[in-house]
Amino acid sequence: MRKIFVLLFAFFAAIMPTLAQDNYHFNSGIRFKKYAGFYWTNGVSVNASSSKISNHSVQFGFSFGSSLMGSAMTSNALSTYETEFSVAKFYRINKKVQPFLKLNFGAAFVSYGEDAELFSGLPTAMKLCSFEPGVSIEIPKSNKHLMLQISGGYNLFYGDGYTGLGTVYPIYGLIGMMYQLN
Amino acid sequence: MNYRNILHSIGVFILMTTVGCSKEGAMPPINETLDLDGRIINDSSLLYPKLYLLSAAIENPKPADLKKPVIILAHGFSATTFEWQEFKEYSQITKDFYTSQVLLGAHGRDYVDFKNGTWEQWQSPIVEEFNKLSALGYENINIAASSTGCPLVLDMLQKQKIDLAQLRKVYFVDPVVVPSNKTLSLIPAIGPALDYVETTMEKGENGYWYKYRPYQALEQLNEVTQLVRKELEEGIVLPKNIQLVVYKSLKDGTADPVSAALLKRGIHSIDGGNIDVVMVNSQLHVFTRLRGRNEFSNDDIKNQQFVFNQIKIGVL
Repeated sequence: MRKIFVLLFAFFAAIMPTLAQDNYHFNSGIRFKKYAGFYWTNGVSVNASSSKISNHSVQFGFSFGSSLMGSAMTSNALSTYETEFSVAKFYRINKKVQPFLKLNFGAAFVSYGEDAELFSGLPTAMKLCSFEPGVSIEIPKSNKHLMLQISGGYNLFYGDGYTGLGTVYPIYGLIGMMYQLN
Repeated sequence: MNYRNILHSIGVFILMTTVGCSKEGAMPPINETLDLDGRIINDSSLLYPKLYLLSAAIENPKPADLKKPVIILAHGFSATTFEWQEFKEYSQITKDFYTSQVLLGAHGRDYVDFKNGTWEQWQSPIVEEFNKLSALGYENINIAASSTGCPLVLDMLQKQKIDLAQLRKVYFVDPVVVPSNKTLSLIPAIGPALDYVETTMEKGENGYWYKYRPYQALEQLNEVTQLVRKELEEGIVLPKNIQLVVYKSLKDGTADPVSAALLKRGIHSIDGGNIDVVMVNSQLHVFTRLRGRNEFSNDDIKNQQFVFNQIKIGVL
């Protein structure tokens, strides 16, 4: 798991100089993610693109979500965390409605809190890898700065409680609101 | 061909494929002489209720009977009274307490009954037996449930479908709140295309479990587990007189072990106390049932006897 993160971090570190030119775009926003049949894991996303990489049609992103900002906010739901790096290919890049295909790689974690010792035999982390088609819609009158993103994803790995987390389900829906910073 | 035509073609193809693959209404290839799903083999409790239900066995209990602890035994999804048969036999060694083996509604009959049953119907016989025993005057009534029997019992407690003042102890073995197979959550979408799911059983299990699981029954299972998970998220408060103990297998191909964590977080007694959870080093689902399995180890026998003894000590 640590190796994957090091590799992903190295990859993003390598492309950052390219992105950090005059011709880059940075976006940040919030996301609301719901597993079909399980928790809401809401959080934040950031992504970047450059005119030098497919003329802004490829975006590199990072997102963090937690049930603490979703299902566990006001309930007894377990505390779950998800961090993911993503690569997305956008189509119809200068139009108001832009379909996209995204690949996500990352990890999911769960905390059993004060019962951690009792459940020490259960896994607390697993890899994530998902395929996520969606559509990005420009919010009218936002001067191309505000985009609504609606997508659905399929997790290639999902948990059965002993080879992976029981809190990771195969299908999810996601709604995000992204703001272009520059 | 423009985009619209391509999308239309894809849509029609998916629709035709789905309809073509669907076995909606088709009966599975049931072996009438072997499978519980057929019309010949039924759970024995339907023919001989006096051998299974305490309310039928002793219609006019004496004062000494009423003082003896009673444990109502509730089995899981697609199973029968067989799931608790070994515990019943264990209880007959010392005869310190009574058992009452309940057959869940729409279970133990045939495929069509199973297909048409709702989870409320599955639950109903547990409520009925509890109410009968309570009305007869039994003073120490307890419940032990396994697998899907557990969310059914939990929903009974949460919605107060029984008089909770009459209940003493509740034992859960491998409760399903979160299924291990996460594709169960997709059943409402893909179920009609499947119609039923065939399960692989071990030789000794034939005739005691449904072999074919109609998608309608899987939808009901999905519904009750989702409902109970939400009830746990909101919090279930048990009266002071009820003590709940959960035994959960660490590696379980049917009930995700995280179910135990959700129960631990979601249930509290009225004085703020938690329930007791015991994680058991086992790879079996409903590890207290060994009969009918091809293989089990000495550790499995020890686990079974440990829980049987704990339940016995708990109710006496």
